Order: sequence, then C-alpha cells, then structure tokens
Amino acid sequence: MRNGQSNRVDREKPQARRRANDPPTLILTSLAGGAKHGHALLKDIEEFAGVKLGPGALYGAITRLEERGLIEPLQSDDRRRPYQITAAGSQALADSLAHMRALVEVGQARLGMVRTPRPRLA
Amino acid sequence: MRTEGLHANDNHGDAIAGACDPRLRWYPRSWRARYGDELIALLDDEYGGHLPCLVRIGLVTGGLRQRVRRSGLTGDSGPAADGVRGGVLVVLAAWTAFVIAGASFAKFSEHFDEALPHRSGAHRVPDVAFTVLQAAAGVASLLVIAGALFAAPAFVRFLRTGGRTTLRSPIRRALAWTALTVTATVPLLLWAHHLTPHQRNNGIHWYGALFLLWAGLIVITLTLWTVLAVAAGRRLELPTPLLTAEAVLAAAVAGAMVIMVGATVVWWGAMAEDAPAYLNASPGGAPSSPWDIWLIATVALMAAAMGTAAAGVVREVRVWAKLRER
Repeated sequence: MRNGQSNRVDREKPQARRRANDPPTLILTSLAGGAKHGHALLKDIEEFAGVKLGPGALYGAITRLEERGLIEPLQSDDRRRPYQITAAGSQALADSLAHMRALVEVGQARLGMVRTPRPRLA
Repeated sequence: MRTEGLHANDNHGDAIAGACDPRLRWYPRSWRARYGDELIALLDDEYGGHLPCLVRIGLVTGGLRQRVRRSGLTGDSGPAADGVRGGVLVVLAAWTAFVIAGASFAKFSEHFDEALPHRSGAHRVPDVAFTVLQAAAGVASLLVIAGALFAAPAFVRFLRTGGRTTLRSPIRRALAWTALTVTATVPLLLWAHHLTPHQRNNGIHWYGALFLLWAGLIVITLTLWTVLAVAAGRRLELPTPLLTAEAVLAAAVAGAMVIMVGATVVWWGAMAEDAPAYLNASPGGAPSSPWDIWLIATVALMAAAMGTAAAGVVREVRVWAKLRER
C-alpha cells in the first residue's frame, strides 16, 4: 500500500513537481493574494516563506512565468510594473500545491504522524 | 488593466534608461528593453546606491542565463525552432574548437610514420587510425560547408533586409583579424621556407615564438568568424525543412567528432606501443612516458568539443518533437 501511495505521488503532473521554495512557486503564491510589483513581491515572499530572493533570481522567474502565460503585467504609470496571476497560473499553482500536499501526506503517514491517510491516496 | 502584449513598455524613456544601466550589462539587450527598467527600480528600492556582492553575482549569473535562454539553448517556453537552431549553432562552435585541436594534433603527428619500426604490422594500426581520422575530418568539413551553403540564400536575404547593420561589428572584427593573420603568415612562410625541419621544430627559439604567435592569430581569427556565423545564424529566417537539414548535418558532424576522438585515442595507444620515443620527443614529453602534455591538452580539447557538440545534438533532439508538431 505504501508503495502504491509513493507511486501515486510520483505520477502526478510533471509540471506540478515544484519545490516549495522554487522562485516560480513563491511568486505564484504571492500573486495569488493580489497583484504586486517586484519590490512588493520580494517583501511578501520573505514574510510568508522566510525566503529572501535575489533580484536576478526574481526576474529570471518572472520572465519564465510570463513567457508561459502564468502571470501577466499590468499597466503602470511608473517604473514599478505590477504583475497579476492568470487563470493558467492559478491552475498551475493549484496543481503544484496538490502535489506538495500529497507528498506531505505520504511523508506524514510514513512517520506515523497521521493515522489514516486520505482516501484518495489509499 | 493589462498591458498590450508581453513586450509592451509604456515608459519608453525610462525603459531606455533601464536598458543602458551598467548594472544590467550581462543581460541581453532585448531582455533589458523589456525588464531592465523594472529591475533597476527594484534595485533602487531594495539597495539604494550600493549593491551587495552577492546581488552583483546574482545579476551576472541571471544575465548569462537569460543570454543562454534567448539563444534557444535552454528553456522550453521559446519557439521550438529556436531550440533546434541553438543546438545547431552549439555544434558549429564546437566544430571550431575541434578544428583548432585538430590543427594542434596535425602539427604533433607530423612524420609519425617515419618513427615506426620497420617490422610487419607496426605501421598498420597507427596508419589506419590516422587515415580514419583524416577521412572523418574531411567528411565533417564537407558537411559544415554544405550547411553553410544551405543557409547562404537566407544569409543573403538577411543582409539585404538590414542585417548588414546588425552584423557590422562582428564582420569588421573578423575581417581585420583575417587581414592581420594573412599579413603575419606571408613572412613566416618565407622564413620557414629557408629553414631545415630541425630548425623549424625548436631549433630556433625566435621562430618557435613567432609560430606560436601566428597560431594564436589563427585561433582568434577562426573564433571571430565563428562568432559572426553564430550571430548571423541566430537571426536567419530558416524554413522548417531547411532547419531540419541543418540539424541532421550538425548531428552528423558531432558523430564525425566522436569517430575522430576514437581514432586519435587508438593512434595514441598504438604509437605508445610501437614508437614510444616519438611521443617523448616533444618538449613536454617525460622520458619513457606516453603522457605528453601537448597531446594531452590536444585530446582534452577534442573531447571537450565533442562533448559540447553532443550537448547541442541532445538539445536538438529534445525540441525535435515540438518542432514536428507545428
């Protein structure tokens, strides 16, 4: 049964396999709470995840996310252009979080932290 | 309200300022035009006038990553054709490095057959390996020429439609260094013509130093022409069938490199067996050892070029399916 659980997690959508501290995941999570520009993103991510992204890493991830249509820029009157999450971005974040949740549940079950795993993993 | 298109930028003046900021010099120009302004604003907000060392390093690595991505070598969000094109250009750059290593090997292996003992079979393995190496080099050279000829019409079209301005700097650099190399070649050839083989091979130190200088000029010139070819290749409009042909040619060239590295290693082993004194004759050679520094460096460069070409082919293959879907 445990092997079955493990396989179930491993076979989730490959694009959903992101680490919790991946810059794209952190950015999508931050933007899920509302549109933000670069500086606000850095502050928010540091606050909720305790991760201090470098500006190079932040904009590398923003470039990739925008190219994939997961975020989009908003019009702005100054240099600080805000970004918002798109529908595709929300779906990608949901997939990613579901994958992480499944992973957490398997880990907790194996550690005996949860007595009965969720039915979808049983 | 969303902006119009991913590359829209409303603050044109600021965008130009961001694009020119020296802190973003490692990023490609097109990236700076789109994101430079925002990133500069972030740096100003976050760090004021002083950037910590780690942030500077992050900007350098981030810029280089963007350059690699824009050239189609990594990432999966760009057009598949760019990925294939990037793989082909990597093989072309690797071929230049291989040619330089090959020239070094040609110089090292001059008159090797005279060093082999006159017994039955002693000539066979080194000769066969060397012949295979020469044949593969000839075939690969023809393939590279064919690839260039296939792309020539697109290159001419590109030049006629304003490409000349884009490539002005690399063209000028390549032509200037070519002129310098040709100018240096003529007197060196004339001098070499009046020297004995012993004098040419470490007999006269001044000649040796000038030869090394001339070899350096050749390397620089070849590199600059390759830079020009890569710069042009990135910008050419190539239809899918032509790009496919270029990809196949590039894969064949990479295959030829594998054969040549194999033949070189076989030649090395056979020479170490049949004529170890030949391998020790160069200045870097240690007595009774086949590990000559010059030969090691040459084969290492060959292997590195082969590995780079293989990486280019892997990149081609990975995006192949995506291109076929179009």
